[in-house]
Amino acid sequence: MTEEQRVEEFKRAVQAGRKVEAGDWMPDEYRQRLIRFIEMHANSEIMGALPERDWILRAPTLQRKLAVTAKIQDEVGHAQLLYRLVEDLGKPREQIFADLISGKSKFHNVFHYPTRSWGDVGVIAWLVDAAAVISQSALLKSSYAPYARTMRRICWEEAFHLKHGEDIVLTAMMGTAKQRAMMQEALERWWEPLMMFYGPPTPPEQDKDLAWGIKSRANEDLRQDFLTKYVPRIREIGLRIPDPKLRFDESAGRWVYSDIDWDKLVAVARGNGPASQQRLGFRRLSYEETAWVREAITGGAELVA
Amino acid sequence: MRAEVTSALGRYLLTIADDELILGYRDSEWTGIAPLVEEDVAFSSLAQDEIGHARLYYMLAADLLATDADELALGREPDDYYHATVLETRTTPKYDASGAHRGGGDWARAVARRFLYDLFDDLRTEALLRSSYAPLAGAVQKIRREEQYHLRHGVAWWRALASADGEARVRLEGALVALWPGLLGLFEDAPGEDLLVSEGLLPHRTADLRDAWLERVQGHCDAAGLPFPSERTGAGWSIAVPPEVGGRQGRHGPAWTELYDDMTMVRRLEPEAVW
Repeated sequence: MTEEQRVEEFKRAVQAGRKVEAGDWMPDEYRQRLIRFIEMHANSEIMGALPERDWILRAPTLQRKLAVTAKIQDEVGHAQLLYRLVEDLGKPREQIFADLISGKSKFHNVFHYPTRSWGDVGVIAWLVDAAAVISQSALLKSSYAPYARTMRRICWEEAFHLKHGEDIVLTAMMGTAKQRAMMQEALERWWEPLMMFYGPPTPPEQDKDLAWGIKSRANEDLRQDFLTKYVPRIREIGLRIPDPKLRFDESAGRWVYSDIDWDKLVAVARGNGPASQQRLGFRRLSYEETAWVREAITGGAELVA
Repeated sequence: MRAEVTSALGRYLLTIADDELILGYRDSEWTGIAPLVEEDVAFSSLAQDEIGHARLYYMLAADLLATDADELALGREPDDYYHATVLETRTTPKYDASGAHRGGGDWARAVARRFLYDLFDDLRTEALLRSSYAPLAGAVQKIRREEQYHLRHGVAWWRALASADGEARVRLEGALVALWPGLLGLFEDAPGEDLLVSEGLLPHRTADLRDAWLERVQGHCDAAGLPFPSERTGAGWSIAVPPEVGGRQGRHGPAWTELYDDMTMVRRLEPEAVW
C-alpha cells in the first residue's frame, strides 16, 4: 500500500467512526491539525485565566471569592490536561509556551477582550462557558480518543462554572438598579464576541478539522444551538440582547441575526483585539519572572516532601 | 462570658482570621500565572483552603460580635484589620489594563512566606486545640487536617529551591532575609491576650510561641544548608533585627492600601446589596 492509500484509508476509517489512540499510526496532516487544534484549546484555557484573574481579589463575598478562584483553577487544570495531549503528540511544553508568548500560536477570540466590572465575571462564567460547553460537548465524539476522554472531565467541570456564573448574574438581576445596569452593560459588550465564538459559518465540506473528525459539528450548527438554549434564558432573567434583528425564523427553523464582521474576528484572533497585547505582555512578564523556577526544577531539583 | 472577655476573644479571632484571609488573598494571585501549570492548581488550592479557614474563624467571631462573616471579612475600615504586615505584600506581577504591568513577582518569597507562616500557624493551632472555648477547639481540629498537606507542600519547595544551585538558592536566601523582620512580627500579641490566658480561653500568648518557631525554622535552615538569620545564645535567642510590628494594632503599609482597595472594590459599589 502506498503512503497515499494509507492516508485515504485512515481518513475513511475516522469518518466511519474509528477512534485513534496516541500510539497509533496517523497521517502527518492529522497530527499537525490535532496539535494546532488542541494547542489553541489549551492556550485558550490558560489565557482565559487572565481576564477573570483580576476579579479574584475583587469578589464581593467570601463565597464568590472561593468560587471564582476555584473556577480559574479549573481552567488552568484543563490547560494542564490539554498540554499533556499536545506533548504526547510531539510538541514540547517549552515550545508551546514560547509560541504562545511570542504571539505565533493563537488563543480564542473571547479572551482578547478586557473585563471592566463584576458583570463581566458573571457573563463570562455563564455565557462564555455555556458557549464553550456546547463546542466541547461536540468534541466528545472527536476521532482522537485521548482528546474525547479529556473532554469528558472538562465538560463535567464546566457545568459547575455555568451554574456559578448564572447565579452571579441572577443575584445581581434581583438586586438594585445599579447591579442590574452592571449586568446589562456587561452583556452588551460581550454579545458580539459571543456571536463570533464559533467562528464563521464555514460550509462543513470545506472544514478540514471536520473532515478528519477532530471536531464533529459545524460552526453555524453550534451557534444555532447556543442561541436556542440561551436566548430565552437571557430574556427570562430580564436582560436585553443588543441585536434588534435577532429572532427565530419559524419557517426556516433557525435563528436570524445581524451580520457579523468576520474580518474583525480574524483581526482579533491575530492579536489585534482590545486587550490582546496587554494579555500577551502579562503572560510574557509572568513567564519570564518565573523562568528561574523552571530551570531549577528541570536542573534536577526534586519536589518531594 | 463577661463582655470584656467576649470582646477580647472576638478581637483575637479576627487576628487569626485576618492572617489567613490576607495570606489566602495574596497567594490566590498566583492562580493562572504560577511557574508551572501544575503549581497553578496546587498553590491555588492552598490559597482557597486559607480563605475557607478564615471564613470559619470569621463565623466564630461573628457569633461573638453579632455580625456576619462577610461583613467582617470585607466590610471593615482598613485600620480595623489585624493581620501581620508580612502577609500583605504582593509576590506576583500586577496586571494593568493599559499594558504597563508592574513586575517584581518572586516565587521564592511566596513559597518561603507560606512555609514559614505555616510553621507558625501549626504551633498556633496546636495551642488552640486546648482552648476552653469549644467552638474554637472544634474548628481548629478540622483546620489542622488540611494544614498538614500545606506543610508537606512547603517543605518540598523549600528543599527544592535550597538544593538548586544558582538563582533559586540566591533568591530563597534573599527571601529569608527580607521576610525575617516581618515574620518576627507574627508574634506580636493581640490586645487582650493576657485576659484570654487568665480566663483559660488561650493556653498561652502568641509571643510565647516564638521560641518553638525559631527552633523549627533553624532545623529547616540547617537541613537545607541555609543561613539562619538569628542566633542561639545559651538558653535564649539573639535576634539582631527588630521585628516589624503594628499589624496586630491595625497599622499597615502601602501594600495593604492597594489590596484593601481591590478586595472591597465591588462591595463598596452597593454595600447593602446582596452579591
